[in-house]
Amino acid sequence: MSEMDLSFKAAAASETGGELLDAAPARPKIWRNILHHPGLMLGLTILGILVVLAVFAPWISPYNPYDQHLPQRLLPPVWVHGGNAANWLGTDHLGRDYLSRLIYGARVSLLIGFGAASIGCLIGVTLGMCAGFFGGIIDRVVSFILTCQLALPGLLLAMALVFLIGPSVGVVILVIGFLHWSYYLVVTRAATQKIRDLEYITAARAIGSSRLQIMVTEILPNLFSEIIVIFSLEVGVAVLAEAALSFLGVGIQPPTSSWGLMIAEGKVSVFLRPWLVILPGIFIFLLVLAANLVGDGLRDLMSNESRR
Amino acid sequence: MLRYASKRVVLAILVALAVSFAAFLLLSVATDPASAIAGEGAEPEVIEHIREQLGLNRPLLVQYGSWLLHVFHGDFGTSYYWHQPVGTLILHHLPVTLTLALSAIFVTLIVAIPLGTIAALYPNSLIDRLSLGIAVSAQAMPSFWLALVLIILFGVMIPIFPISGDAHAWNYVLPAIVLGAHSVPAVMRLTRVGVMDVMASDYIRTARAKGFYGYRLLSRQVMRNALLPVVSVLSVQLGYKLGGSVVTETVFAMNGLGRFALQSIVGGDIPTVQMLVVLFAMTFIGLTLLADLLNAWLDPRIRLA
Amino acid sequence: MAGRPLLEVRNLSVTLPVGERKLHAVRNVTFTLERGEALGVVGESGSGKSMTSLALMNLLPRNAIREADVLRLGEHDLLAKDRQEFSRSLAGKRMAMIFQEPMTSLNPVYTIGQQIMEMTLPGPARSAKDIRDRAVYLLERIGIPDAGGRLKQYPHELSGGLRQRVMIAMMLMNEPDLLIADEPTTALDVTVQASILKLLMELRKELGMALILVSHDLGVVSQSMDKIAVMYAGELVETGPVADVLGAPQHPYTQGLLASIPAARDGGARLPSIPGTVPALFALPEGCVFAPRCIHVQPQCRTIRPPVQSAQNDHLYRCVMAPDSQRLSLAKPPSAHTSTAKPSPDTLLSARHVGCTFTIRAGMLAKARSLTAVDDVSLDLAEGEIVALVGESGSGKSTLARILLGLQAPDTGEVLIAGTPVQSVPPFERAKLVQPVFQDPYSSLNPRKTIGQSIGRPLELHGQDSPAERKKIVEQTMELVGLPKRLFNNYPSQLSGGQRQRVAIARAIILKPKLLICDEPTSALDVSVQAQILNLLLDLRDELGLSYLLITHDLAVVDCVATRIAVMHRGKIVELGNKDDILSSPGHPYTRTLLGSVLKVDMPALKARADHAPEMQAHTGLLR
Repeated sequence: MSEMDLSFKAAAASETGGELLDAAPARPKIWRNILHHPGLMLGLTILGILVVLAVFAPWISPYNPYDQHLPQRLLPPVWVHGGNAANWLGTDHLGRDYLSRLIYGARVSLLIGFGAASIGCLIGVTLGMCAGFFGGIIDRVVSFILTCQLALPGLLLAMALVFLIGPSVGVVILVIGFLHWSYYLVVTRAATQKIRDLEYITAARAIGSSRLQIMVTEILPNLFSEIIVIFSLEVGVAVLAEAALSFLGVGIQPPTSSWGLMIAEGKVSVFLRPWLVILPGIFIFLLVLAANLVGDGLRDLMSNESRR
Repeated sequence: MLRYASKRVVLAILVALAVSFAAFLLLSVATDPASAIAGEGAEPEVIEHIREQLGLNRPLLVQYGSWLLHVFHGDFGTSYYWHQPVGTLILHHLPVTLTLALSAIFVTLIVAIPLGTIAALYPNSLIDRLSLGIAVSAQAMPSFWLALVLIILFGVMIPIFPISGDAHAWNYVLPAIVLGAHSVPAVMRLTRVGVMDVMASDYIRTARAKGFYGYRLLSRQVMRNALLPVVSVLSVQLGYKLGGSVVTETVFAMNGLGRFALQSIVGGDIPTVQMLVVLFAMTFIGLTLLADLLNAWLDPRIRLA
Repeated sequence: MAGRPLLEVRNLSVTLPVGERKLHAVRNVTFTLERGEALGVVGESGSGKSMTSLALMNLLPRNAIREADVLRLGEHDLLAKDRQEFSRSLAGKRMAMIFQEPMTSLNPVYTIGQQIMEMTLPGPARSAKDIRDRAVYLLERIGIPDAGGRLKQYPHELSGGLRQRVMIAMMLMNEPDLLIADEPTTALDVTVQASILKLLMELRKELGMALILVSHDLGVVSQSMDKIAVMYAGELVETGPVADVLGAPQHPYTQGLLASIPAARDGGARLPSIPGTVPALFALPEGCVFAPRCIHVQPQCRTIRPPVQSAQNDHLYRCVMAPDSQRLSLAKPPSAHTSTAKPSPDTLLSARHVGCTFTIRAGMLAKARSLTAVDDVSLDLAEGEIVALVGESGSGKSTLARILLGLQAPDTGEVLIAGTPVQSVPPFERAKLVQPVFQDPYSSLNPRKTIGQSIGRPLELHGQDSPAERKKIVEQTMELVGLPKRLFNNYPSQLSGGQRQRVAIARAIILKPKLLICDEPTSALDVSVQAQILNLLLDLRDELGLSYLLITHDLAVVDCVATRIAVMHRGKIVELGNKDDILSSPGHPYTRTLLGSVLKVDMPALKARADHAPEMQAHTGLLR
């Protein structure tokens, strides 16, 4: 840049739009928005507590969840007649402390929830971006795959596959993940299609960016917020799926403590000892509720932001 | 319109083929039915013999082809477990599931659409927040847990509805509520968003400028547009119900396809499972096709394209 | 005509709650309208003109607060009626409104016949057949042939222009006393625009209907309205008969607006422009709302709200300066420094017989149609030239732009840039030769990147300099385009349209290209900002030795900056030559139609009219 003509500079200065539309600070104020959203805060809190329980389970839970004490089977929780303070929430049909099993159950659920959601995310986002960006035959093929995937009865197939391959935590994560990527794909594809036609993408091509660079540096950052929302919701979906599988006996097998399995084990005495069924259900409910609250809350924040 | 319909039908057939092949592949790879039938500790020759009998030693594509051929002739295979034709078994269990699914859809409709509409018309009001709260809670509840809670409630505390079996119409009330409750959040949100979007649209502004207001605005101008997406979703939901009734049927001890599917899986009955998967997939495809056609017929933009 | 005016508005205010703050969108607007009179409400974005019209029709968002001393139409007190009452008795009956976006303003699931006929409910006075006959009559009157058949069509089967005509017919079914038109032609092509406006004027005379036309386009308003009201930042700054206000404007803003309309410049002078930008209206200003940008500002302007003064008869304006019909327009621009040097003879860009055809399929099994977007186009551009490519939507200009940028391969022909075919130049080299500037400042920047990142990305990609060096170059470029350095870390959503366009320009020039292809760079901007950006482009041309291919539909812009013109219609270049030659004596019929459709502010004619005594409107509109 050579020296500038004095009059030019003066003229330019008097004409500049030097004022900001909205004298806001340079970084968008996300944190304040999060704190003000009650649903989001509630969800994050519950999630946080459950994560702490899961991570620090060995230190928090009073007993080892696998220790059987047959003489002390089926003791009720401390508030029911017959309960004692040694086992706050009673014991199950093999004499294992219920509270400990519940706490360790958090590990299983969180692991499966986040694991399966991550696998789904990887598959769905990649396919969705490619379909949305390249269009044409790739899009048609991906859409066809999506239709097929949607047609498959998810629960049924999951049951069959897990049971037949051999139930274990790893298999459950893989199977659930591989059957739950459609939501990611649909949203990513739609969002990518919208962005693809915007002018800053053309500008990026004009300065010489390659297609891959454009997808990763220009489009993907704009998808983050939507992907996070779906991820939270899918964690909930995965947790419910695992619970159903374990409940039906084709998921996590004993002696691992999964909340769904605990409900199944307690089903036989549901009328005499309802807490065996109610307590694990409450935990499942809380985890999925938290995931949904976080997902919905993030979605609210996003739509507020995009209204600017 | 006819061209659109034929396009969709061709697509549906292609999807059906692909799905059946995928299911076939997955199930065949996942397990070896011969050893399951032979039992534990059986000798290799016995297993091999059974395998030959069932034709399991042929290449996969051939097996699939032969299966496909049989299906076209109406022969859906014979169950390893029950030793009866699969088709008969399926037909036997179908009515229960069908009734259950339809009742569940009914429950969903009468709860979700009014709630969603009212929530959209009075955003951030008490009823909006309440319905959102209900939606979020219902979505987080495992259906089997809800079922058990209802059983405790109505089986023990206030015994009005039967809690097991499928003999009478009353038997279907609780299961329909459980199964229907699962879709209420999704349909309610969809209705809410749909109505809100339409209310904010330019053509509704025009309608107001024309003098439309209140109930007349809603019924004549808004609902037809807002409910278009709901129609498609409902068909999809019906499909899900057919496939997802396993849990409900198991807890309420009903003799539907879902429970039957579970028994087949646990029993290692591959032909039945295969057929059930394909059947559910086909039903789903058929329902989405129906939904697409219905949508096309209702929306002049598609109908006359 | 004796008697009260048809519409009386006094001290109308509209306040919108936004988050925790309040936006004072409209403040103290006062005007009257006689039966059959036409009022043009003019203003740029943020002026409150649309809000005013929505306020009259009771179509404001539910949380908006509307206040006024008087709001009266005929014998109806608009303030006293609640929404239901208003909808029942007035909306669509005595008062009607047509909107800006015809593509989305009709209900997609009903036929246009249904939508027109539902305006009037059948009753004792009218049978269904009467209503249908009237609908057919109106459709034919507005220029839609085969009206009976059209009644059965759906909105998506009609073009934008036709949909707008349908809207007009629809709103006139009940012969309202007042029709409000909010930017009715902004979304339409220039040629269609002229015919719609002509139609509105004819209907107005026939029905004796009063009309309020809201527009940002002074040319449109000057040709067809009786009165004009100029709005700025929510306030009415000047009103009066059109000839008086535009011929002898009194308020500095009106003067600045008129002066900054692009027009032919003598000897390369800069376009006069209004410095600064429209303020956001969250706080009620003390003193005059225009003071921060006014060149005649005096100390009292910042503290006291200026009074309403009268120039003559009905010509009112809100300013402290005395009326003076001789006062010159705004700011004498700094002396012309834009070079008048002749462009060099070197050909920079050469397009030869370029063609591009698309195949469109509606779906997997549908029949394919072919669409020829660009048809045998040949064009040359020499260094230092500004060539304007003029065309309306569908002319193929955007496709041609992409081909010239090297982002799309033509089916036939070739494009040479600096001697080499643009397709065979490696992307990084090509990026240093030609860069684009787009129309929409809102979609040309990645919302997730800061200004600094967006501008600096080309450098980063080409990997030449260190981050520190890059920052320095970015800041220098920002200064060059008139952006303060402190905006480096801000996001696009925090900037105005004009600022964003400057960012886009900065990004385009940072690699020091030779040629900029600008696709409607100022169409989405307000007139006053447009002038700033055009000046910037001219300055950069001198400073950096740039050449431009300027794609636009706005002939005023062309007249202002271009040296040569190419007119494009349906994929072909129908006329090519010197700007002055073509504008004064166009050869091709399409060019003539285009020139004829442009509505300009005809200053000499207006000035002449301003000198005569104003006539009271003499409308003999028969009410049937």
